[in-house]
Amino acid sequence: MMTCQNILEIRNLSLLLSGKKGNDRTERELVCGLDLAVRRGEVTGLIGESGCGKSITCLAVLGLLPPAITRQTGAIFFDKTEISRLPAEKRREYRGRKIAVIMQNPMSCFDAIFTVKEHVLMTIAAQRSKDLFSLGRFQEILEYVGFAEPPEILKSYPFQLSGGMLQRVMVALALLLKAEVLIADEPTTDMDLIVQSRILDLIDNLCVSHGLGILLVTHDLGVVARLADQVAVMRQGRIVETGPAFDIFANPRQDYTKALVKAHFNLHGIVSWPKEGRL
Amino acid sequence: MVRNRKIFVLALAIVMAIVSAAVFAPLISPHDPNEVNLEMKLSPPGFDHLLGTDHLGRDIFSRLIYGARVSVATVAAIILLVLAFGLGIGMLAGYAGGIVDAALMRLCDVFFTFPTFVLALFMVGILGAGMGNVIIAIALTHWAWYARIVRGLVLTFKYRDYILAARAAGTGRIKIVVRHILPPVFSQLVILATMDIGHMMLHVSGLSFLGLGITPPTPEWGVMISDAREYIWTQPSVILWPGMMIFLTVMSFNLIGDVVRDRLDSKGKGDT
Amino acid sequence: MVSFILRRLLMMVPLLFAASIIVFIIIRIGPTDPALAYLRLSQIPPTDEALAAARDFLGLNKPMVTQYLEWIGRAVRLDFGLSYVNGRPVLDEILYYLPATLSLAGVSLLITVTVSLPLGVLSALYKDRAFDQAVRAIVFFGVSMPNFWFGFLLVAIFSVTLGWLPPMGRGTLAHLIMPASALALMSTCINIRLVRASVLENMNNRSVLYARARGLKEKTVIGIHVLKNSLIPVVTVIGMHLGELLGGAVVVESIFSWPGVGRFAVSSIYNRDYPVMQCFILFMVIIFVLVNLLVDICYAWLDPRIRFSRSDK
Repeated sequence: MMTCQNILEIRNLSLLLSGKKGNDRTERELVCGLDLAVRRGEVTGLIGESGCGKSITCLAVLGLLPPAITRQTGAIFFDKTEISRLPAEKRREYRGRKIAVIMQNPMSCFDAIFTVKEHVLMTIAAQRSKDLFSLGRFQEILEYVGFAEPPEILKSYPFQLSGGMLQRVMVALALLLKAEVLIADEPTTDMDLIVQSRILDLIDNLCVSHGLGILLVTHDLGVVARLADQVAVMRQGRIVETGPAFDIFANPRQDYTKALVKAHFNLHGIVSWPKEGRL
Repeated sequence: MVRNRKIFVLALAIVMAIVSAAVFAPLISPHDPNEVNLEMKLSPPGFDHLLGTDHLGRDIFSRLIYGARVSVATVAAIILLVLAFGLGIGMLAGYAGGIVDAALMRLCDVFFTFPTFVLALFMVGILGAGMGNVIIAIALTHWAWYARIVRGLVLTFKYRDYILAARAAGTGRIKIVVRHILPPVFSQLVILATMDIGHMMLHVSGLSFLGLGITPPTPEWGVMISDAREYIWTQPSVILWPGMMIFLTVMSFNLIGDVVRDRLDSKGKGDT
Repeated sequence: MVSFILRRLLMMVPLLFAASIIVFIIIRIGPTDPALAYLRLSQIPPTDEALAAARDFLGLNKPMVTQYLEWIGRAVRLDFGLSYVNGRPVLDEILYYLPATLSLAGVSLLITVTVSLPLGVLSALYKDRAFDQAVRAIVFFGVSMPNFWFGFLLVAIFSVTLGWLPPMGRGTLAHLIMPASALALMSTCINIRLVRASVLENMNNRSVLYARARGLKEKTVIGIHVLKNSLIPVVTVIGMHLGELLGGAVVVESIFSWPGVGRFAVSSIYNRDYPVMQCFILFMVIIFVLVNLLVDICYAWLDPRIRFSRSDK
């Protein structure tokens, strides 16, 4: 079942922020020559401090860059199709259906004046083949991601649920649409440990049993250690080091990575090791 | 959002021009604004009467300049009264809390049940027309908004760390209010007032237009429009000038208010 | 929801009574003696005996509290007294003029909403483009324009110069166009600003980003998520706009000789016809408060956060 083929590939991506300060135009490179790949059934961890360009890279993959940021160079491939060249409407069909996301701050990601059910129905309505997806199936998935009473969740408004619950709803939406890639952007910030570990288990499970390719974006090495197969370390818009997770932790080559790993072990002790080569 | 520096400078220039016209009206105006000359009535613009004369032969240009005096004075008085009332009552409610706060806020709620212009109209209707009553009426219909905002501001500042620290250090109540609470509240309030000047001016000229505000023959812009209304079929330009003055003045104050608020907003964001 | 409405209705009662007290106080501090006004309007010479008789007849000799209680007691039973001018019941007079004002204010409110929503939304969607800049310029002029002057400008253009529209009176739709536009101008411009700002703010919401990330069509994202959220602040200010419109109607009715309650009120102010003035202001307050109640209900209906936080209490 495990194929080593790249489901998502980013090649030589550069992103430029242009703005105005007074009468002068300012430009700043946010991401520079970034290469990254996600394979089916694997978790690729993208780590780096906040502000290094991780989240904006995710938005570039989705084709949802804010107007002030433009893609200078590079291409994004999904299963050998260069999606970065597709027209907007074709590109839209990839979002949700092929590439799903779990975003940070789940509270702010749902529209407070619509129920979960309305969110789901709108998502289904946006798909080309609507009959493939149904509320009934979504309820089953809700149960799968750990909700005891799916109908209750469906009729809730987002502000009636907790952050962890909403995050699981996001996972459920990704499963409903049978996405092939999941981008998890800081999926466990602001959560207590129990919820954190439940979300992480869920992501792990998606990867192993559903064969999703997962791009895990985080600044938390503990999370990477727990889940990632491959790791890319990002700093100031560039990838400074990539490799299998075990190697990165055991044998960091760059100074920045060494410092990160050292800080991680200082904090969590030697027990927090990544999984050893699942390949 | 620095929209356009040139427009802002222009607005500032208009406001300064109007304020100086108000202050130096006797020096600038070529004629006595109340000098009636029926032989010259409704004469077109010319060398002697720059903008022509009205239905009583009074020089429109001079009346516009004296009108600035009336408008500026009235609005300034209203703003001062509203600020005083709003600050006093809002500070008291916010700082005293408890029953005082609740009572004062319910009083504000009662004033909120009136549409402002309708209440001002009613008050002037009872008290009688005239500048003093207009000032009282408009100030009384607007203070509640300011009081509520001041109270809100006081409550947010009251529990700021530096206030709590000052209190823990044994600084007296009055000193805390005067030194630490009043200045930030007041600066916020000035911005609000700047943005409200145009609105108040429209209220004053509206009442005057109805014959319930500043009374003729005082040269007030709203009064001038009201005087000119019968001549709209024969001499529409007579109605144009006073309206233009109100429009320009209100617009300039609105613009300055907007810019000042934007400045302060972006500054406020920088702090937090 | 029902209990929410009931509670709000109950809260209205003390507010209305308090408002009536303020009205009563204003009248009593006024410099004019109502008895004198009464005699003048009844064309009775104000001799000392006549004045005393009028005072007695109008109940002005009783203590203030009794006067107020009698007045409010009658008002609650919808008895607002007789007009000093023609001796007819005030309520009938007000009700006779009210429909004209309500239709004028109602149409203006309709113009405000129907014009400001599309313009505000489009202005936000085409931010900084030519269309947006044009709308913003118009709005900028509109909020500074005195409604009575704008009314005269309309008359000067469409009646005097072009001869297209009747300059005054009520009757056909053509009569309604200029007064309603003059009245709606300010609220429309304020509302366009509000809608534009609110759409821009909502478009930057993360929920919109997530909606796009789920592959929702742009039509759905803007048309449902952004628009419905932007509608909430628009609804909340409708009450405020109505207050402005009721006040503005007084002025606009005077310009266009619109036979409404505002013009009637102004003439009763000239005449010092106290019962009419009292009844007028109480009606304005009641309409204003009722509309604000309606607005609050709509708000709770639109925004579940309000609905649920209230029902928790």
